[in-house]
Amino acid sequence: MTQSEFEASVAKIKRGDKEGLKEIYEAYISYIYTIVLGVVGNRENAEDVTSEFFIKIWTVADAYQSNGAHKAWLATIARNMALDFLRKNKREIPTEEFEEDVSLSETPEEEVVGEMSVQEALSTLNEAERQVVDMKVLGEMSFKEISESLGIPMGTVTWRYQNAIKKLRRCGYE
Amino acid sequence: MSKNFEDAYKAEVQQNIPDLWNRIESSLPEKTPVVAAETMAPEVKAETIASADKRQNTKSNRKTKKNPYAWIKWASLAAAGLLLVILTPTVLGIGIFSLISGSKMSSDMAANESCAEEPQYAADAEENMMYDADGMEGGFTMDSVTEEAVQEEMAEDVATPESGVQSTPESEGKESVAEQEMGEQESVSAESVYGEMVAEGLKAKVSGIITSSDGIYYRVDLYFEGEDKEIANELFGNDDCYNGDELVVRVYYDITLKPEMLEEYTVTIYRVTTESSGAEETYLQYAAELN
Repeated sequence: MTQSEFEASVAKIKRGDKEGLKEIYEAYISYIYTIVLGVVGNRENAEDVTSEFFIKIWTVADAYQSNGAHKAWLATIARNMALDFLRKNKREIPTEEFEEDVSLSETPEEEVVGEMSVQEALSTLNEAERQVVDMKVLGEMSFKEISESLGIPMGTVTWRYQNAIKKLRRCGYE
Repeated sequence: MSKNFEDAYKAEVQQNIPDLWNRIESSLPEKTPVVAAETMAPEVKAETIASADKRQNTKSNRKTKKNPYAWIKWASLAAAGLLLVILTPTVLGIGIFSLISGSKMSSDMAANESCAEEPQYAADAEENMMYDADGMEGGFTMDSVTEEAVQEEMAEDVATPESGVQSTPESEGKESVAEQEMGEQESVSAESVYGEMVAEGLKAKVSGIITSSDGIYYRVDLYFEGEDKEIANELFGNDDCYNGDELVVRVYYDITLKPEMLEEYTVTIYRVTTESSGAEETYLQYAAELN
């Protein structure tokens, strides 16, 4: 969606036309959902937050001021909403559990395991590593942002990320 | 064959995007349309302008009409002024009184606080005296150890083997005292000295020594490859001390571990945020703790 297309959709929303929101939804649902899933780490919660995100866009569109970077604007709102959700539901941040039982040892130094699906590879990570990878890869967050949002030192974040990458390499991923 | 994890992961997530539109649409609140004048139909626009003119006319009519009770406004203003003149001294008196008492209270509090600190100070002094009384010749207490002193000591330690000066039994004695003290100092973490830890578990090689007016620094080359390099680029990419492959840092002043040239260490990197860095060179923004 180009900037002018986006602005046209926003103008429709301002007139109360739901078609404007639907255009934005169709263009960005996968982008926004991926970011949100990366932060909240759970499909069910990601669906809730993504729905709330589009409802919010509907209500805040009146205040939207064009600065030529609507994608970044959308991503920032989505990320902040997901982080708010995390803060409010701190005790229940279950990382998606997978049924596949992949028996891999924890040490990343061992020999490379053959080709694996993404989910199989992800199941080799522990919950903390998975959370950092999700926030980094799907949530497009910097290490600093992850560190601040999780309240842990940046060194710990990079350490977990490094470990996760080593494990993923063993599963045939770069 | 290796696959790109990031792309594969994103692709997989996007394959399973849920359809949320019906849910969103049913939850949308009613919206009052915000209509800009430019986008309105001509007849609506004309009507709006006409009604605006009407409103303006009514307003101007109201203005020209003389108010027969206007004198009441002036009379009430005069009364309010008189009241103000009567009440001001009283109010000011209270204000000043409360200001004085407030300052007295705050000075009293400060005095109390300083009194409360005294026992701790006295206890520290007593401890120092006991420490000196142990007969440590020329010894220094932990409290008096400044970073500069340690840096000087590091400089001596580093210079000794290079200059070929043999250590005497006396100097060995001093070294053992220093080691003992440094052992006690281990409780002082690099993080508390420098600031935020930014990375750990990185491989590094000491590749050089930088002598500066405020101490000795070691040039530490950090090896970054693959994902590590990506991390390093994000962490240090904007810093002068990083050139894409190596990072120049100062070494945490733990002299119990003397950095050996060309030796490889696992290091923890700290961002130097405190004044104690003393780094004149702008590129010494990081400190490394060698493990």
